[in-house]
Amino acid sequence: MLELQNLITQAGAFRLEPVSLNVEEQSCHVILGPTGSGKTVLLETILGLRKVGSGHISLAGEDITAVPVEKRSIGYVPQDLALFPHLDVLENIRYGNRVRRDVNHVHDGLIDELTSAVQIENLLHRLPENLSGGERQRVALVRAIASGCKVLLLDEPFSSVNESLRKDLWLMMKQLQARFGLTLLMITHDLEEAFFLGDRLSVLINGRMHQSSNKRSVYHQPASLEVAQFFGIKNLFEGTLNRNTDGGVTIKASTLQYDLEVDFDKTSTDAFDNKEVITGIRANEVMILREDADPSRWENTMTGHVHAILDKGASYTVLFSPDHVADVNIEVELNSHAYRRLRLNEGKKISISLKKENLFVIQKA
Amino acid sequence: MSFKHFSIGTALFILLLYGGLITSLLYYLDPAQFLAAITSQRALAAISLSLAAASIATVLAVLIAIPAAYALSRYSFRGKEIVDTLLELPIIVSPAALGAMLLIFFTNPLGNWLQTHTVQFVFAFAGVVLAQFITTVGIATRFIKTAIDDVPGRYESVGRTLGATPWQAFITLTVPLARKGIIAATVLTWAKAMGEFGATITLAGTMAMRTETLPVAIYMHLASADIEGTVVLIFVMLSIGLGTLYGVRKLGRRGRRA
Repeated sequence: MLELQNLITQAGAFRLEPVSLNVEEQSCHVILGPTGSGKTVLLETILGLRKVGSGHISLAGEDITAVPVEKRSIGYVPQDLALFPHLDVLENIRYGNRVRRDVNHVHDGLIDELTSAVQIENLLHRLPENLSGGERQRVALVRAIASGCKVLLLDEPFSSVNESLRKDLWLMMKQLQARFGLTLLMITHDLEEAFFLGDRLSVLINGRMHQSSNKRSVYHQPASLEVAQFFGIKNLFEGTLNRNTDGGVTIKASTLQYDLEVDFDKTSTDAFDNKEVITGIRANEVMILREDADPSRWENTMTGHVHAILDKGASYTVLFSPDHVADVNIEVELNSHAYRRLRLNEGKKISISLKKENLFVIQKA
Repeated sequence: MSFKHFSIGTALFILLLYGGLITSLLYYLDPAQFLAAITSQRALAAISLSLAAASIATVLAVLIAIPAAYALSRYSFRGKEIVDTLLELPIIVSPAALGAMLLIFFTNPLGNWLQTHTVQFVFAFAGVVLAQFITTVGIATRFIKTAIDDVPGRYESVGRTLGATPWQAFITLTVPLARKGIIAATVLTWAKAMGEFGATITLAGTMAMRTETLPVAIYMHLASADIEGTVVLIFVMLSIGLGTLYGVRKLGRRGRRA
């Protein structure tokens, strides 16, 4: 539906390196990235608000790279929502039809349907300054959809509302997408939001697209050290990848002083064979073995002690220090229930297992 | 003395200064003479000429200033810095010097050609309008630019994604959102045009009934030692100026309530 081919753009000293991606019809593609990574610059370029350095933008098979903003038919909800303060809610919603001079019964019907779907029918004659944060978000979404666009670009639209309201808005967004057949390209730095709303994810860091694939793949196999670090993964270990005679793959993790067995796609090991790599595991995928468990029956087991426990309310982060190596901590994320069952305390002797299937491998730059 | 008392004291000092000056005029105000002086043909001509010239000059200045201010606020272009600096020319150069510059321009071949083929400016009503326009257009642009600067460009961007052309976004979003600033700039431009003296007298002269504006008439009455006549004309100027400002404030308040 929306396709970018080697899109390059410049914003002052900032340069967006070639970006290629394809947003499929009626899907939600989320671009993740830290603040200042170029996410908004990319959206503004797609909208036509910034000049394209080189590359192409296509919408439904038509090249729109040189088409003026107002003729692209791409809806936009910016981070600050930009509701027009001098117009009431209904005038804001009807703005697109008014400037296109196509106010008619069909649009009135669509507006009625939209306002009812997001429950803002009783707010139509209020000015934006008299709306709550959640109401403003809903009006901005309705305004973009009511202009007749089937493709919406959303720039962190839910960042300014509290967490419980944000989750309600995610659900509402999913319902609107399904009901009105919308194709969404959304940017966010909120991982939870990205995984909830996105069908596919891309990760943009410092103007470079590091990864673009389905969300499970992005979650389980970060494509670069930068992506892993952006996801907050702390358990990253340098080593050398070796192919065993039995076909298995082992990483001699130098920082961990441990030979980690990994479940790695054999067809792609050639490129990594005997190369310096980084292997890692998410904190919530590290397993703490029960006291009566037999470590020999588990993969990549280590014994050590609890170095520290961080209470985060809904979950706990346990820092595990292996006995065989000094100054290395492995983060373990536990929900409250698991934490209580394990009865952990600082200094307690425990064993952990890093399951092969949960270890990912990144080629060292 | 607290800062609050100090600052209020300075505000009251301004009131004392201007109020005192206005009150002191009453010493020479003869009620019997007032009506006769104000209804004299020459005074009425000066009043209507001033109102007409200032209004035309203001409309022209604002019509140029709005798009120019928009360009200075929103776009980067070659020469922008120079234009931005030159906006203050009427303040840097005295009005008399500005009038002299205009007079000198109309003595050169291009100026001569313009006067021959378009309108006579030197010692004519068009000269009064031109002098007032030249002294106000830069300041009007500066004021309106400040008003447009305060309107985030984001509104226009979103408006355009909703289907508005750049013209439509400007007319339906930027102008209404900068409305208060544009109105204030228009009023100040008009007030400055009404009070313009130096450039007007240099370019258009002091011809009674033809180029004699209220400030010029005040000067001429004073030059002929007609203090009472001067005071009457000052009161006329004060009434028009303060009346306009009061009216605009009233309108502004009604606009806010609506």
